Amino acid sequence: MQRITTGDRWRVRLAVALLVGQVVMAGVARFHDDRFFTWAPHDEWTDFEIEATVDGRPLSPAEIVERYGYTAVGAEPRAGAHVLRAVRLAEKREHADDPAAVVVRYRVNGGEEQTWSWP
Amino acid sequence: MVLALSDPPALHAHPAPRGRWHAPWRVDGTALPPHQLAVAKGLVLLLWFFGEAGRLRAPFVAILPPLEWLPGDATVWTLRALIAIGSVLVLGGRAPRFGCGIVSGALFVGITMNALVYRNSLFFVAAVLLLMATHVGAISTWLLRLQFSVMYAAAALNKVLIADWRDGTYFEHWQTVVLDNTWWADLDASLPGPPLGVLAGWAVIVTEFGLAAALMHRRTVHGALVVALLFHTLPVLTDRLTFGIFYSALALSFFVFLEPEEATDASRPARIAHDPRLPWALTAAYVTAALIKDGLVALT
Repeated sequence: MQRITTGDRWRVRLAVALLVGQVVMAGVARFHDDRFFTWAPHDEWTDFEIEATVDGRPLSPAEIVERYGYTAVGAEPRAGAHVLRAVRLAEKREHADDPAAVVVRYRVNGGEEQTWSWP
Repeated sequence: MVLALSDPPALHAHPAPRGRWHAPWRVDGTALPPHQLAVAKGLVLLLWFFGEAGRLRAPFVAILPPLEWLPGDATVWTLRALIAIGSVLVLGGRAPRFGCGIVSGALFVGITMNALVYRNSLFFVAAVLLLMATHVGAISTWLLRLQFSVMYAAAALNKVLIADWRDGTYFEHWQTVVLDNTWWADLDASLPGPPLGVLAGWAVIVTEFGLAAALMHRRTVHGALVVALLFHTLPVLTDRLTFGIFYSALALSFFVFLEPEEATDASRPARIAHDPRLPWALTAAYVTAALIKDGLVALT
């Protein structure tokens, strides 16, 4: 059995930090709609439809994919909030100079249609 | 045969064998216990088989905003190169912990810099590889197994707090609309008692909570592994749902629970045992993953 090195201790701390981080993210998920690093696979199924216009011109389905990474009509099997997050952040971070007016219609688990709009 | 899982072992380090290149099917003579090295090799092979490195994309709506400053294509190719380098180190046994760390780090950056690339399956592979990269002894093996309990507990907690899971709405919609399983309604009508969606949803929740607890105790871990395999195999059989790399990676990773005690007992000399069955089990898992992926096996 060899002497425990500082490197060994830091390796264990990193491993513990990884596990603790997941517990923390599981707690954060109680107050936030995003579901990253919280082990939330397929907790909800969201059917959505994205409509966006730039300077009054509707974006084509290909342009919507290019702009937001999601298809104009699709389904998100993890968290519907991820679709809204992608649209919101894409508009804020990538398209501040050419903003779009976006409407996202979605249903969670086949429920009532909800509408989200940006800005 | 199955290592007890109760209290965390003390931190003791085994003298790590000097890294040497060896054949990809060998799992002995490294700083990682044989079962864990077999799992690590299998995971990196699965990453390439399922084309996960090829699915990495340039930074976009990053989970960690600073990562969006990374140059797009250069970052993607760098991450792919790192996964390749790490894979070679793991498969060749030269520096498996370091190789696991490289692959894990690249995956974490990849899934964090583009939120659309993020998947729990990749997070699972990255987490397991990171825990192997930090292996120093018995305590590391204990932490690696704890990862599975954390995963199941968090998954169950997420579900039990969602009304659509508790009242069966999610399962009902999932089966009848998303998967278009006509047999679901027929089965639901034929069964007495609560709706099938409610039973199925609570069965999943209870199973996941149960696995989280059972995997950490000596007396129940063996049974828990069987339940877990059945639990994850059921959707494969009924709907051919493997959720990408997840089913193969998870099934393979359960091997870490079958470590011989002498490989991780801190009070014994470091004697890395070479189990000749491991390479064949790895091969079987790999071939099974290939068959499932290609849909050559009619599971329904």
